[in-house]
Amino acid sequence: MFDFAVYYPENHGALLGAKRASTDMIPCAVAAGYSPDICSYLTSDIGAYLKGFTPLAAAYGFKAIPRPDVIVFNNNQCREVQDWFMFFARHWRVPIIGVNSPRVIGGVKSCQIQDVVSQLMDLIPTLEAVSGRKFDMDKLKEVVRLSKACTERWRKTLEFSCLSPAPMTFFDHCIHMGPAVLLRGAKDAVEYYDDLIDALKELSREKIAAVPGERFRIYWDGMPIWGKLSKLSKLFSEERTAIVASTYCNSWIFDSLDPDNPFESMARASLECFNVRDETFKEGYIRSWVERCDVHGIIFHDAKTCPYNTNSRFAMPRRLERELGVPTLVIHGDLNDLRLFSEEQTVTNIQAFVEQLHESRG
Amino acid sequence: MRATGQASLKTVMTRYFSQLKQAAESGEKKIA
Repeated sequence: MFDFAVYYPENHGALLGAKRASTDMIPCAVAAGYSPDICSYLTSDIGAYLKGFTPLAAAYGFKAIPRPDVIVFNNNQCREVQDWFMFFARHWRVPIIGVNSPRVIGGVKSCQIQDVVSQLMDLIPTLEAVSGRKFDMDKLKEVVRLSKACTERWRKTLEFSCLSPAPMTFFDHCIHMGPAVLLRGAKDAVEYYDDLIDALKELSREKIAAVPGERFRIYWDGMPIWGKLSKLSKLFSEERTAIVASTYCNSWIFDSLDPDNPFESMARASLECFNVRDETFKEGYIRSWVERCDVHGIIFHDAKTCPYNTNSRFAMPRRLERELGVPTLVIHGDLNDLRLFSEEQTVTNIQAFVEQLHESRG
Repeated sequence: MRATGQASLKTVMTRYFSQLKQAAESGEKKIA
């Protein structure tokens, strides 16, 4: 829409985490007054900017992160993005606009949809002024059509892991989600997932497992530990345990998008996001995936700096254990700040959990 | 499959970031 090139600071934050660069960047943001207890994507990203570092330099030849002409946020997945993006809005003196989402939603109500529709429509004048282009409803419908096509294929990709053995795991999902995050609304993403689905059909037909000799199947709730994806992937593989589904990777499924009704459907998709739902909805959601994917245990990642993507702090694991008869494990760590992650303790806890699954299943 | 998938992913991501870099350097496109 409006022919903008779109840059996502959240993606940059994840890249810093995956490159294990965050620990060197966060102190720069802390020195500038940002608390080490807030989102470590935020502190990694602002710290990297202050330090003049970006992984995009080595990977793609960027001199620095792009300077935007306008900053747009939706705080449905994370309340702190607004504070994060305000840093850059102040620094570069560019307009910042966005959607403040209702939170703790049970069933989505029409008044909430109208609220978000109004906020989306309020973005248009600024985007027109900055881009120099008039809003075009047909273009929006086309972008929503492509976004819908992308999200349908992303759902299908993830659902392959409900099969046994799973042809991909959470660790693969964290990598292959790139186009659904950065290119939703573009043809490239749709074509990418068409190819991936073809490959997954072949793997499933031949019963090729992502984790050879798959014994146990796990649901992961909470953020990835970006700097330890490889390490944890190997650990679970050694334990012949597949993480087959996750709240995080599912968060880029937007079933409600409808090109014939773009504003209302975008609002509904935004409000149906897991992170803004109440605990009753969240438990039902996790239950449905546990049952659908024949899951044997649930791991909750309590990410120290990410309360909005942490669901273990109000006894949800205990409730789900009682309700589903499925064991749970809470591991303590962080999405980016590896100073908050004890590898030795986590490995021991995961190995003990798998042993518990072994014993409980005879 | 995973090797094929990764190669294709690299292509798609490289195209995205190359276009973004071009936009940032040339000023031809506005950036959001």
